[in-house]
Amino acid sequence: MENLQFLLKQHVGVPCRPVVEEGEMVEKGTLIAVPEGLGANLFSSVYGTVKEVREDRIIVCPDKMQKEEYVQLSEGTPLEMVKEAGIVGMGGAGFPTGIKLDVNLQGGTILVNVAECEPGLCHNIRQIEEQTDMTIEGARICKEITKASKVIFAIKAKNRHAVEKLRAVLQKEADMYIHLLPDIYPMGEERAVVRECLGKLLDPVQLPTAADAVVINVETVLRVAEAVKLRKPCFSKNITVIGKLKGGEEPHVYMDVPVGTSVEDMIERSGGIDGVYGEIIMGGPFTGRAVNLEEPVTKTTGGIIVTIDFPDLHGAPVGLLVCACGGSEERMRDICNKMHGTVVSVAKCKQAAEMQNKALKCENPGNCPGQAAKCLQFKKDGAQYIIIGNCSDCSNTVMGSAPKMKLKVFHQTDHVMRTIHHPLYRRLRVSKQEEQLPGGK
Amino acid sequence: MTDRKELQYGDKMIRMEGVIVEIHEGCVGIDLKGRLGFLKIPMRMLITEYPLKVGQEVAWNMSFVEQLGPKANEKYVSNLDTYIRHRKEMEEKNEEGGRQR
Amino acid sequence: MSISAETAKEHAKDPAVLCCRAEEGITIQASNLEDPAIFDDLVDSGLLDLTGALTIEQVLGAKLTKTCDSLCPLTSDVVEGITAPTEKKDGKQQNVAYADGTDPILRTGSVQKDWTSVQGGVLKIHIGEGKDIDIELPVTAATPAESSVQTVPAACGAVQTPSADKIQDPEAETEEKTVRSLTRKHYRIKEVKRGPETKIDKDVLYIREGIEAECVASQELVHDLKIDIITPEEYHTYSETIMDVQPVACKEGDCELGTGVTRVLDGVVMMVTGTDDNGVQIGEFGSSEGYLDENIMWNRPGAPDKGEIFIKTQVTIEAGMNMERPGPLAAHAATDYITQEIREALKALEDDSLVADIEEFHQVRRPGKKKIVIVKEIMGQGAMHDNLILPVEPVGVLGAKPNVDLGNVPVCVSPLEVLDGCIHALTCIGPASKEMSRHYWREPLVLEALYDKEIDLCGVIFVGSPQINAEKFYVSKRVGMMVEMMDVDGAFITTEGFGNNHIDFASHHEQIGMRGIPVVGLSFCAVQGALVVGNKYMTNMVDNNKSESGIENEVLACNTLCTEDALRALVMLKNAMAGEEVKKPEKKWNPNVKSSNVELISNVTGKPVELVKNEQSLPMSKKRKEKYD
Repeated sequence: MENLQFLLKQHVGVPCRPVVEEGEMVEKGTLIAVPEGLGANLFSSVYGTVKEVREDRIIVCPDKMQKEEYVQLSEGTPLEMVKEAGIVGMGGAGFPTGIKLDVNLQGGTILVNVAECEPGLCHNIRQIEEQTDMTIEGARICKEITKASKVIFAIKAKNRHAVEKLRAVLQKEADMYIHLLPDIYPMGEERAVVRECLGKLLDPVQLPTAADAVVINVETVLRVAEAVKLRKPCFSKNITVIGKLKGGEEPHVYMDVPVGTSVEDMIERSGGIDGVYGEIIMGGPFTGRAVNLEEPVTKTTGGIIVTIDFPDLHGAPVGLLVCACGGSEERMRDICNKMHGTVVSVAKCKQAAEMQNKALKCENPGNCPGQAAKCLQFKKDGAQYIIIGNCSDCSNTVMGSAPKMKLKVFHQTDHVMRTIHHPLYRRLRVSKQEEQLPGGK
Repeated sequence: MTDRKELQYGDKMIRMEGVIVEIHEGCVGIDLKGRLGFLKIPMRMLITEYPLKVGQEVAWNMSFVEQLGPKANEKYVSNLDTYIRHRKEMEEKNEEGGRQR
Repeated sequence: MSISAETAKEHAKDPAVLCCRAEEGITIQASNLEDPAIFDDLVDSGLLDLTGALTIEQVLGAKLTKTCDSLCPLTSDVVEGITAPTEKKDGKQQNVAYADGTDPILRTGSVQKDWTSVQGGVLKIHIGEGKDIDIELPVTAATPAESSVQTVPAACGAVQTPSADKIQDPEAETEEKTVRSLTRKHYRIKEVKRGPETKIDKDVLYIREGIEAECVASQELVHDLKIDIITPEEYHTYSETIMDVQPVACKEGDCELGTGVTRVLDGVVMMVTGTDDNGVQIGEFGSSEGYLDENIMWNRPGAPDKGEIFIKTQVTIEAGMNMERPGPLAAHAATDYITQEIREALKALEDDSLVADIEEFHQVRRPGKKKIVIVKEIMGQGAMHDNLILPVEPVGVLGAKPNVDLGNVPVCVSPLEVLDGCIHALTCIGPASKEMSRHYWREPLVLEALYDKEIDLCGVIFVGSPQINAEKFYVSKRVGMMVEMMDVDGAFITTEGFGNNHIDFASHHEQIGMRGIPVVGLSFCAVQGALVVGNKYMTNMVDNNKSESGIENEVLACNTLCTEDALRALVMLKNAMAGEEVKKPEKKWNPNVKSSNVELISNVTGKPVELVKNEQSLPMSKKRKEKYD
């Protein structure tokens, strides 16, 4: 086993302060860094020795022998234990869960986000299928902490097996329901979940509490249950590894991967890279970023994707349509460079609102505001190709005009979709409406 | 007047590039890249963001030039004849003047 | 892109097109609809066919009966529960809906009312601390009380309001005030001959034989100069490109330009033409030389009138100087040598019985009426794109400053200075839309605005159009500041020709418009001169085009500003100042818009607006006639 790297910033907020020194022995569950402001505790995921404490990470050399046992959390109220456990939003956002749940919803709703919207990832659905009871336990704890009156699991209808499994268990849960989502991107966006389940569209700056709700990722819910029931600190992560791997493009799902494991390690465990590849993405095809093999798994790592090579545009003029659903302009430019395109025009989707931290948020996720004017701009600026990162609905709109203007369309996820044999994001062929279960069960 | 014919290829916009090869106070001369011709335009048809320099590259959209009809407009033919004749006369005069000097 | 409810309202009568895929059963809202602003481009790219599309007001709130994709025009077979369209106010609305549009109702009556509601009053301020200063000053009720108060603290020391006298006597506000006057004495010339000296003998003008050599000697760059006297019988004469048409006029005695007495010869104009040593036209791009009678749009403000005699110079300048600034300038200066000698002869005339006609121009200010300024953009890109400003003699050279040398910055002049020839135009390319020197002498917008009793023309600003964009914005910002200081209620902006001058033309609109002042623009646009840039203040436009197909042709002054354009602009500005919205332009240039606007104006004023002819009225060359008839 290789050295593990624990990044000091795995969450929204400021980096943690190390509380261990080089040469110190650590156990699985030893607190190694604490927040300095907004943040969450960081624990070692292995038995071993602290090899190095750097500015941004702690490197631990693991022992050869690893035991299952871990250092347990001290007893406390459920909220205290969640805070103590260092749990953060595991869907990718990384917001400290102890702070998120420290709210009185006064009879509101816990929305468990099982959308698993990024194509190719499947560890959330696997969790529902395999750890149904523990997940429901976690949801119950969240509901009690926040004084909510009910729990809604938001899950895509296409995951029939998981839905049936959940349905069966929920029959005996009085205040827990299922809301079925259509199979379009980005149903997992926090405000999309609120809108779909509660029928209320929030402003990009509003939090779900404005709709008396808390949206919480399904794996986070599981970690809450583990912290409260098993007194287990948060030091492991469920991950999907997929892509151009020896042995095929089928997803490899790993439960409880120790935080700090390297990307290379995970790829090797999955068979290793199969020949020439385009890039390695950490996260999902839409919102992930390209990483190198040394990068470590964090509490928010969802997927590791090895893609096929990029097409070569030989310097052709390219227009970028940046939106909140896909990568940032930087990521789009990165993809354009890898395709050897020349950026001649950049447009931002009308609905992409810039937040204070410069991040983009969609004003109405998954409902297109029209893109024809952007295509006209690209055409005018002399683009021959365009790269879009849009959601299913917007991509569909782009396809309504760009090809007729002789603009060739690439979606930023194309190379991933081709790798994993998933349909490309172009025309939308499914309805945005999904028939619901009777009585939400 | 020639019949006002609709252009058949008017929407086929091509990006043309050229190099400024002459700068006068009232006009610029532009060599079209790729040996595609030479263009002389008055200053007001040039949009200038920077001080002009010979060698600056320029670009614009244009389409193909189409004939509007088979007939030659006599007015322009006769004007051109006269203009060319005048120029020739003046050149000859200049040459004579040169010899005398 | 999807539109807001507000935009939907503005575009109630425009076609309804889905901006994105919409599913069966939805209730159609503004957010489902594409912005009509981009339809032109979409139609042009073949992306959209609006045949049969319902209007926005019809579909809002209706139900979509079939899932449709983006850019799908909504037609009655996919929409259920269509709202009945509201009645159109006027059957001709379609035709009026051009930028060159105007509201059928002239609101000038109500305008006046709004602006003469002056209530005299006194604002007293007592400053108690230390020195005890009492200030009493009249408050102009025309400016809101808040703003008056703001000015007070700063003005503590010496409080002087220029309008003080007006306020004390509110009655005086409506009284016209003549600032200055200009008298034009017309001398009729029936014949132009050559003779031993330059003189005017009754109705015959003699030009000294041999003056050509002196003209040539006066300018280093001029190598030859030929004078042709073209009588109406000789209109079918081949000529090099016409560079300028100028009145022959001089000031009487010590009178300054723009005031006093000006003497002018009727029936004769100066005409400048020329080439370089190699026979290349000066500042010219071909296709413009030819037979005079085929290339002149008679009786345009800037063109010769039919029946006039031309004193035409054909100047030969040094080879290669045709595109350099000193070249065209030398050709003009050499011609002006002759004009100046005629002016001297005209000045020397003592026999008042020779005065055929006297014309009086009064610069009248009408306090209390809407205050208007005219901003005229003149070319200043260099070489023949230049103008001499404020010569000593009407359209002279001496004493004038080239606007390029002045840095193209705005220069304020009185309307009478314009009419007295304060611009000597070196322009010559784009013969159909360029304003010749004579144009300013007879500028229709200045004349109409000066005599319109409903407005108060405060002056004219000339601003050059530099070559480089940064300089364009530099001068444009100065225009904005200048107009701001004038406290006007409305502004006209005119430009000549088309090209990069439309960039500053647009910027002037923005600079003035952003100060809350309604603007009406006048330019040749039509098909070929479509504006290169635009902004939200460019809502009121009058197109100077007269040509049949909307292009810049080779006919002198064909597409320049005429009375019919000035009248439309005036009505449009009055409407704009009264808060009336000018309808949006049609997709493509449509000459009918102008006709219906003209008709509407005639209907309201009861006076027909006579339209000038265009190039179609000119003769075809004889040779062609034989062939084609």
